[in-house]
Amino acid sequence: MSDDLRLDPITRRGNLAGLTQSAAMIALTTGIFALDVLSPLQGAVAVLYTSVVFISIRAESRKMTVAVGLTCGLLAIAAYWISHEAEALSSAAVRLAVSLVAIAITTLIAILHQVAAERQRNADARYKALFYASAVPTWEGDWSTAYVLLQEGHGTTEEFIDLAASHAVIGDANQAAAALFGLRCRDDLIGRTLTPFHTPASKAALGRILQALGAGETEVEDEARFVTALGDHVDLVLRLAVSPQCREWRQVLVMAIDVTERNQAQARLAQAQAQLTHVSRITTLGQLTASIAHEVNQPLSALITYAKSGKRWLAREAPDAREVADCLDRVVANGARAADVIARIRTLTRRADPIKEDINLLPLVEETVELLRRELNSHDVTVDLSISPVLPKFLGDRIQIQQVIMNLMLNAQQAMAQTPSEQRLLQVNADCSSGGITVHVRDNGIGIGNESEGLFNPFVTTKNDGMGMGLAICRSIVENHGGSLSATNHPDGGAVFSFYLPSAEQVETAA
Amino acid sequence: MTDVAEMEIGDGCVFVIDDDAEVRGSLGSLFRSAGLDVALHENPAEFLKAEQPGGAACLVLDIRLPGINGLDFQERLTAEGKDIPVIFITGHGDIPMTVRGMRLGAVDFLPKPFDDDQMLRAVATALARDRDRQAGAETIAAIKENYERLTPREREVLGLVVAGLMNKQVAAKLVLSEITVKIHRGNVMRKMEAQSLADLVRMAEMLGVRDETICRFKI
Repeated sequence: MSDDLRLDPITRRGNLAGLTQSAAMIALTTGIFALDVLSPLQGAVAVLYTSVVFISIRAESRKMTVAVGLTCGLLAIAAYWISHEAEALSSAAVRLAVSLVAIAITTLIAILHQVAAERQRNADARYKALFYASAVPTWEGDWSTAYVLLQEGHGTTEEFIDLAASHAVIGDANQAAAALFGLRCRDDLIGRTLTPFHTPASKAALGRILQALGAGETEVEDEARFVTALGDHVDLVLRLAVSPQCREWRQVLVMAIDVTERNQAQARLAQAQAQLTHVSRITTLGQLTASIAHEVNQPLSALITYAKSGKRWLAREAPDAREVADCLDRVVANGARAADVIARIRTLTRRADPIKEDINLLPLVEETVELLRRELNSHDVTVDLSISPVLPKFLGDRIQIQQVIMNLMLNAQQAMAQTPSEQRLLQVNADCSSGGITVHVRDNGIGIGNESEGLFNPFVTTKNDGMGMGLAICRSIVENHGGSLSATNHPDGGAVFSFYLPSAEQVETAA
Repeated sequence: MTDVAEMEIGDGCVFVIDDDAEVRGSLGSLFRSAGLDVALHENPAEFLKAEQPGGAACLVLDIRLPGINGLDFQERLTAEGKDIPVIFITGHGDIPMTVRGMRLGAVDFLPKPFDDDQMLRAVATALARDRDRQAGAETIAAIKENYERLTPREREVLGLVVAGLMNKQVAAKLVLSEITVKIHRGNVMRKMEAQSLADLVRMAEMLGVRDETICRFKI
């Protein structure tokens, strides 16, 4: 009966009231009895005993009520006995009978009422027990100010949200709620507001919640980040319930689920994935070192020679200004060309969180081909692009998608090592399909085995120096973009790697 | 340094084959600044189509060309008797290729980016070598012309004399008198413009008309 202990202050007050009440009841009963015996009303007074029974309801004890009823009945009979000892059945006896029935009915009603009240008390006690013992941080807030403000037609502006938050006093809270916000005791939360724990994100969430409640919803869920009294960040999924009985949001029940760890784990996973993707990109670039070095060396070589040549034109007996100017122009152009190559590489080596943007496929593929041109040329691979410039855009991370295209193209080139050099053809084409675009990278090399799915498993490689991560990472990139990547053998020989990406429009619709 | 290189180079035409327009253009500018004629080609096929001028010439050849290796192309040129001196340029200066190129008679092997003086010196060497080659070709042509003017009998005598036979032996071999052989021999020396027997032997060597069988018989 620990609940009773918790209800201590109320109970104690009740005891005091109970004593007064008992005294009143005894006095009343005595008075009625005296009146009944002494008055000439002959039994009619006994009906007044019902008031004593009514008072006994407040004692919240059925036994007591029954006892009071019985006592009253007996007293009525006793009074009758005293007044009408020898009389046969008379009108007084009828009045006594009516009084007894009245007392009995009143007692019954009193008992029924007590049963109902007890059931209600039990339900309340269970709710409180649940509320206080729950490991789920839970609190009740008085949001009546927000209700009034909303009724007055205030929009969910920042000012309004601040005002609503600063008036949302917490009526009750459990220990888990206090612990969640870094407080020692739940009393530190009761009677206060959540204002010190709000962040811009949580205020925005509060705005959304108020809007939903204002629209008439009774249960709302949202996620937001709060800051605890200790200065830590906590990510909470808030679930709010406004019960129909509670008018004007005087008692809004809020339950919070701490998803900080889940979010952190997710963030760590995403970070690990991004790092792996980055490493794979660097590895791929590593394979291209020779051709990239050449790609930079070419313009540098031209630049140096033009510069030396320019000096020579100046040093001649009849300096040729036009030739010198031409040399300087070429120096600038070649410097820019070298810088372009570096910029392309630097973009790829950039280590940053993925950024989603609208991407046009054709320029991206063209840029990738430009990056790989030297590598492909040195392996006598001819590239055939047939991509329409009017394909729908797709939403994604430029660098990661370029990485996929680059990997597939390099794989294609390597697959054609055994193909006679004049037949090495790499085809890239794309088509619109099922609300997105599908890109096909086709080679006419050795093709893939029957187990095409195995290719996408990590550490599966057909190359001597391969790690077997390339295709696995390509697939995870494409899948993270809501697409798919698959491989088949072409009926005319060679392999086709196809990846599908949903168009930006479709992604927006889905969101 | 610059002036010296310029003075040493003299006239000539430099052919450049490189698939990179900028590298080609920069070499063109450099060579023109040194007063040389320049012909720039993107690939070997274009070079072969182009007209070969008279006078000294050399070829600056990128070792990695689309579709063909520069070394293979040099080999082909040599096989076809086009003895143009070659200077290789490359972005990937790996040793095995250098060795093969030098063995095939490349003048030099310059990694990109190249030093202008080094490049011009290499071109000067190549052009000088081409001039020598052409001068040598001219001498042989003159000797050949002289040789054409000899009578069949005089050629027979020449062959035997340079093989080391004495007049008496020549006479016996050709069933002639020794006097007649002496007259023929005098005509040969005059017509071939030979200053001495040794001179005549050198010319015969260049023409390849020494009678090998006689030589062997003698031994």
